[in-house]
Amino acid sequence: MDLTAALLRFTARVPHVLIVGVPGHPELRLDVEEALRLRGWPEATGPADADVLIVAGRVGAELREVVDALWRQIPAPRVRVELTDDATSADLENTLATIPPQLADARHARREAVAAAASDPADDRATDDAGDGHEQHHSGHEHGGDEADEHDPGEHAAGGSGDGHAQRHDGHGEHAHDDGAGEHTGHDGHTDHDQHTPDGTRAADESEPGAHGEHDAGHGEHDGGHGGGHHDHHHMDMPLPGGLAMADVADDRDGLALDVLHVPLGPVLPEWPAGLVVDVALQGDVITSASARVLDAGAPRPPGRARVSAAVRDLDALARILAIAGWRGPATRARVLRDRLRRGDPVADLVPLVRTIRRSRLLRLMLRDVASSGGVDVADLLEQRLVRIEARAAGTPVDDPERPGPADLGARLTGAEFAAARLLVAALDPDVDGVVAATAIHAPGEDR
Amino acid sequence: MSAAVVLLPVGMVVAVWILAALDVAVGARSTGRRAGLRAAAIEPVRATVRLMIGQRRTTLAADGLLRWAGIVSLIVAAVLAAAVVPLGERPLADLSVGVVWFNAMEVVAWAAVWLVGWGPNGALSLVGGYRFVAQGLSYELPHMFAIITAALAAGSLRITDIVDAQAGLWFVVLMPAAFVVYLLSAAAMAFWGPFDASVARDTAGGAAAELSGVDRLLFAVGRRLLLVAAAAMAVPLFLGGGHGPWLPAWAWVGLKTAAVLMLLVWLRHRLPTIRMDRWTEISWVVLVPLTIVQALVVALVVLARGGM
Amino acid sequence: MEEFVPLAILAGVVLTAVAAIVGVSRLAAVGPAATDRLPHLGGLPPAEHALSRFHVRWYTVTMIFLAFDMEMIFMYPWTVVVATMGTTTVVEMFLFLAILLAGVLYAWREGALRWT
Repeated sequence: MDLTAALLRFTARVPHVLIVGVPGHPELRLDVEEALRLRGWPEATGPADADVLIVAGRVGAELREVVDALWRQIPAPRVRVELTDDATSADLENTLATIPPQLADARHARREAVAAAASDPADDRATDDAGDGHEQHHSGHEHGGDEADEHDPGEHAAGGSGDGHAQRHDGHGEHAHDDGAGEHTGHDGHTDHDQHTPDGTRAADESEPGAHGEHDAGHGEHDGGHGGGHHDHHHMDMPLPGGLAMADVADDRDGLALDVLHVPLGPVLPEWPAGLVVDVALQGDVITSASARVLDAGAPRPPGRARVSAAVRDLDALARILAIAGWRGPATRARVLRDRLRRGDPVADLVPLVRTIRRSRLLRLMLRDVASSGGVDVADLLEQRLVRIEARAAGTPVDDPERPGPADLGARLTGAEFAAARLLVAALDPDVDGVVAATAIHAPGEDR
Repeated sequence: MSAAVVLLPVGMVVAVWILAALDVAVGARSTGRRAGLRAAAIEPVRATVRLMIGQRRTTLAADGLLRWAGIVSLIVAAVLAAAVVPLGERPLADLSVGVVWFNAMEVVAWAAVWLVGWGPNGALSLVGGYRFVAQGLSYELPHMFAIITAALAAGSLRITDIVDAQAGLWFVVLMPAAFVVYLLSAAAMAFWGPFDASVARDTAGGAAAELSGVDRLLFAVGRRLLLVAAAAMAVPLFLGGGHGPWLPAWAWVGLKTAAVLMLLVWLRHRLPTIRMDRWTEISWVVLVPLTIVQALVVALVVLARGGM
Repeated sequence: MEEFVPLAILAGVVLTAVAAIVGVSRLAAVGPAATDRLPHLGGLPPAEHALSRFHVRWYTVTMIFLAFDMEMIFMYPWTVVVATMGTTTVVEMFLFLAILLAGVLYAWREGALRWT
C-alpha cells in the first residue's frame, strides 16, 4: 500500500496532460502548451492516456458537457484543472505546480479510481438532451481568481467531478438509477427524454452527433423518421448496450450498400481547432458526408487577454500540420519558435526550419493531392504558410489572409479519407475564435 | 537451455529499455531541453510504473477477450520470433526452418494490432487497426523477399547456417537492397515511426487509443519487443551474426543489434509518418521488383559459386 | 519435433511473466478498472457501436497479396535446393515471379494500388 504511494510520487512528476482548448482563447492554449513543453510533460493523445485534464478558459454549456464526459473517461490517478479567462502565465505556473502533489496523493488517487469506476457512462448520452440544466451549472463554475487555490485534492472526491457538477448530476438522477438497476441499457432513459423534451430543444438535437440529421441522405426508409419515432425504430426490437444503435447501411460512392458510422469528431483531439466539431458519416475510413460546427458558437464571450498575431498563428498551424503528418522533430521546432515569437524573443532559425520542410520529398509525397479542392491541396496550403513565414523572417510586410470559417469545412471534407481530413483541418486552421454565429452547413454525400 | 528461456526475455526487456531511453534522448534534442543520460534512462521506468499503477479501463460493449488476445499474442510472438536469433554461437531453438519460423511469428502482429483496434468498440481505434492491416499488405512481401534472399545466399533456412555463410563476407555487402528493405519492414512490422500510422496522433492513439493502465503498458512493450526482435534478426541475416574480431560472439550480436536499434530510433525522428494510401504503390511497384531483382542477383551468385 | 520444445517452454515463461505483471499491477493499481467507458471520439458520445463492417477500400491489394503469399510457400523450400539443383530451378522460379510481376503491373495500371 505504501509502495503505491511511493510509486505515485515518482510518476506524478511527469504527468500526461489532455488540453481542452476553448474557442476565443487561443492564447491560453498556447500558454499551456508552452508550459508543458518546458516541463517536459507530454500531451496526452486522449483521455485513456491522460492524468491531467486542463481546460484552457471558461467553457460554455456545450463544452461543459464535453469536459464532463472527458473527465468520466480519464482513469485514476487524475486531476482536473480549469483556467479562468484571465489566467496569466504566473497563474498557470502556480496551478501546474499544484498538480504533481495532487497526483502523488495516494488517498486522492484511490478516491478518484472509485469515482471513475462508479461514474455512469450513460450520462454521456443522456446529457445531450439536457438543455436546461446548463445555466445553473454554469454559474456554479464562476471562478473568481486562481484556480489552484480552489482545487484542493478533496474537492473532486464526491462525484468524480467538481462541485458545480453535482447540480447537473442531480438533474439526471433517474438515468443513473435506471442503469444501476441494470434492467436496461441507458436507452430507455434516452427515449424517455426525447418524449419529455419540449419541441424547442429539438433544434439543438438536430445538430448533435450525426445520426439524426444524416439519415435521409443515406437511404429512403428513414425519411420522415425524424419526428421522435427515430429512436424507437432503431431500438425497440433489440436493446443494445449503452443505448447505442448498430451501424446502419448506406450506399457508398460505388453504389455498394455498406455500413456507415456517424461520428462526431472533436472538439478534443490532438492538434484539432478548439471547440470544433465535425459530424461525419464514415464508411470505413472515408468521410461520406460532413458538417462542421463550433461548440458554444452563439454564446457571448469576453475577448481574450491577448490577441494572437498572424505570425504566431502561422507557426502554430505549421506545427500542427507537421504533428499530424507525424514529423516529430520539425513540429517541435516550429512550436519552440512559435513560443519564442510570442515572448518577443529573437527568432533566428526560422529559415532553416522552412528549408528543412521544403527539402523533405517524403513529406511532399504524403501531402500532395491530399484533400485537394479547386487545385489547392494540403501541400499547397503548407507552402502558402511557409512563404508567409519566410517573408516575415526577411522583414517583408505580409498580408494576412482571411481565415476560412468552420462552416466551409463540411463540404471540403466530404469524400476525404480520415487521415486526409485531419491534415486538411490542420492545414486550413479554420477560425474558431472569432465570435461566429456558426450555423451547421450540411454537405450531402457526394462521390469524389 | 534452462537458463536461456529466462535470459532471452530478460535480455529483450533490457533492450526495450535501452530503446526507449534512446528514443527519449533523441526526442529531447528537438525540444531544446536536452535530457541527460540519467534522465533518459529514468523516463522509460517512470512511464512503466505510471502504467503499472494506473487504473485500467474498458469501453462500452468492448470485446475484452479479443483485446487481450491481441495484446498477449503480440508479446509472445515477439519473444518467440527472437528465439531463433543466435545471441552467441547458438540460438535458443536452432530450427531447420528458422527463417520461416521468424516470419510466421512476426506476421502475428497483423492479427494482434487489428484485434487491439477492434476490441474497444471505438471508431478511431478501429481505423487504427485497419490501417495496420493495409500496412501489412505493403511491407510484408518485400520483407519476405529480403529474408529469403539471405536464406538463398546461405542455401539454408537455418539461422546458424546463414551466420556461418557470412564468415567471409557479410550479406549486407552482397545484398544491400535487401538489407535496406528489411530495415524498413522492421520498423513497419512494429508500427514504429515512420510507419506508425496505426497508432498515430491523428486518430488520438489509433489502435491503442482506449488502452490505459497495464493494458497500455503491455501493448507498448509488445510493440517494442517486436522491434527488438526484428532488429536482432537483422544481425544474423545481414550483419554477420556474431562474427567480428576481438570480442566474443554474444558481444558482437549485442553491439550490432544496438546499432540497428539506434538507426531505427533515428529514422523515427527523422521522417514524417508514411501513410499506406501513398506507400502501397511504391512498395509494390518499386520495392517488390527491387527485392526480386536482388534475389535474382544473389541466385546467380549462388549458381556461379556452385559451378566452381 | 523436439527442436520446438524450447519454444513451447519459452511461450510458457512469457505467458507466466505477463500474468505476473498483470497480477502485480492488480495489487499496485490505484483502484478497480473503470468499465463501460464510452470510446473517445473527441468528447462527444458516439451514435452507434463502432463494430461494423469496415469498408476496406484496399481489398484489391489483398487479392494480389494472396497470389504472392502462395508463391512464398514455394520459395522457402526452393532456397535450400538452388545450389544443388542448378540453373533450371532459378529459371523456373524467376519466370514464375515475372509472371506474377506482370500481374502487379497490370493491377497498377488499373489503379488497384491506389485508393484515395
